[in-house]
Amino acid sequence: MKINYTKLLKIFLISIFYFVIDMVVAYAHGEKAMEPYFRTRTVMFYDVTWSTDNVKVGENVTIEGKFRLHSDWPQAVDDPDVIYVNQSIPGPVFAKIESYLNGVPARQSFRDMEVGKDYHYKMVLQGRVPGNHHVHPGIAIKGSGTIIGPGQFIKVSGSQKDFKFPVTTMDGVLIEDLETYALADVFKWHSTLAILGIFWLLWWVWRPLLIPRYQALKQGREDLLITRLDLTVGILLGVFVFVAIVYNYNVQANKYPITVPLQTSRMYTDPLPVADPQIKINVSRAEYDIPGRTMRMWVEVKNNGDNKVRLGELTTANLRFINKSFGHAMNNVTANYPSEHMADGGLEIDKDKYINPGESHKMFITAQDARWETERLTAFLTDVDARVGALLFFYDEEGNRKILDVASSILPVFTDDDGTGPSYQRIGR
Amino acid sequence: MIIVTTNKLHLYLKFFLLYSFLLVILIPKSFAHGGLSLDEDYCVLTVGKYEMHFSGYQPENNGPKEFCEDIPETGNTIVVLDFMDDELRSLPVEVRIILDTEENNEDLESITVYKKDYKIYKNGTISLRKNFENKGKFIGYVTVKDENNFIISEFPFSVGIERKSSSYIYFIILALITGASLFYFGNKIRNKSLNA
Repeated sequence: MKINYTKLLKIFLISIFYFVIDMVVAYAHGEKAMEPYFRTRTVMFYDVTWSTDNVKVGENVTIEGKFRLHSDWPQAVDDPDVIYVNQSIPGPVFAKIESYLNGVPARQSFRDMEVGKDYHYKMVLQGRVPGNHHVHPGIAIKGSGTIIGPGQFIKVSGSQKDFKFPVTTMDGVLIEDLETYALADVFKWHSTLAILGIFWLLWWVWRPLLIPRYQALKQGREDLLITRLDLTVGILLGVFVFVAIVYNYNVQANKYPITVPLQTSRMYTDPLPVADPQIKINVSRAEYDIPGRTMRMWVEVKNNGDNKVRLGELTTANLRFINKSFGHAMNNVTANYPSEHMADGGLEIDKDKYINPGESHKMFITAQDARWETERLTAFLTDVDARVGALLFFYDEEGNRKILDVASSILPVFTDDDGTGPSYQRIGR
Repeated sequence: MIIVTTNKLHLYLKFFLLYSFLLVILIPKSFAHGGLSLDEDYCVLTVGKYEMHFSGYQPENNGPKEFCEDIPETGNTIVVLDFMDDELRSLPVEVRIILDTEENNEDLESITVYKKDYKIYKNGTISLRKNFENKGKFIGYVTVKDENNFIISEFPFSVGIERKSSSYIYFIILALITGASLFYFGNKIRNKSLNA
């Protein structure tokens, strides 16, 4: 019977249709799926800036900032022995031109990062595909995955046809567009090898398949499994593949006599030199008020320095809670910082004041926002590692900043809006 | 040799397509009602172009367990609405819980059992506390004032009424159809092979 190809095509298209109607477009990068202990106690991003939020195809945008590797690094996350400075974008919509960690080119991974220390990263991306893209910095940790920093929408305008990626090689050869460079060779090799692979597959599909082979084996006739013809075809194919590889290797070696192999070494950089903040913090209790979407912390701060300091900001999992009554803290918020990472209500501190040198001061910190829930940061209520971490930013009277990382076990509670209410509403006490 | 004849190939393809079609149409994404739906494990309330995350709690009975739509028991209940769109943080929002009379009632006030007046929630979260003393059906009634427009969303929910999930019925139907199809097409293929 003849195969009706039109019918087959129709069936194929209907099948595709079924898949398409159930598809949804994903805009996020999966960060919400990561456990809160990962997002609040590993790579703590701060001072993130994007040079612009609007570029044309072929124009550059620079993303830079700092991160601290939290001192209370979770046991469930591999230590940052090997990390890679990365960007998190929806596909290859930007081309990465440069990247650095503490000024060292970050083409390769870095080794032996130090927990509790700070690093500076920078990357330059070039607009490639028009659209409004969410762009995050990211730090990939070997064995654990990529932790994503704050994201900013960057609009890329123009036409993708205008994108060119010129590169000059070490021996001075100008490649006009890396996007299309030697693409014909790539297609040629892939199609050649694909054809050979398909031929070899079809050859054995065409030969007697499983049951005849099983029967032959059962009857002790292994000699029937591979015929003289199979052997001839196999040898011919092997010889052809070998000759093709040797021949083309020589052709390519003559065409590109100077090559640099892919680099596998790991880079190292010392952490940023950060002076001892001379502040000691003891978190005596932390709780999360479930209906209030509020994290509360009771802390005791001991100022061992020579200058008065005051708490200005709490940041965790890319959420920033700013002490809005404190000018130095507000000055640290850059214009156009993405609102999705700012808690509108800010940080509330009872007994908010400058802490004198040598003084111990007890404070009650409240950080309320719906984003605890919508960013799925409340899984610590059910996690095996029910601890929450954060960075606290203190400022002296001159506006000099001191950063401390804190962490504490956290308890879920139910309280009324005013913190009172029937006793049932306070669980965990 | 290829043993499968083209005739059978067509039958297999037809069967595969029927099966995939049933999979797509019979397994809906959510089994919720009203303005609430389950989206990527979120309980989402749609208010015009905006979305809110809905959570219900009964800490006395169920600790921190979260409910979407129906509240299992009478008693002290907390409902929290979290804004998923930042624009909502600058808009006045009113929330009511009204009795579900299953009739068009012009006088909203007379059937309102709980009300939070228009207010701007800059932290993006609203929590409602209500002691439901009796079982019954209610409607959550959310109004957002967007310039001069009032965007209203209603979400019916019950208190203390056990709602048994019927989603397993879809899977039973699917299994029965799959079995019947296998039987039908299997017979057809066998008969054709015998006739050939």
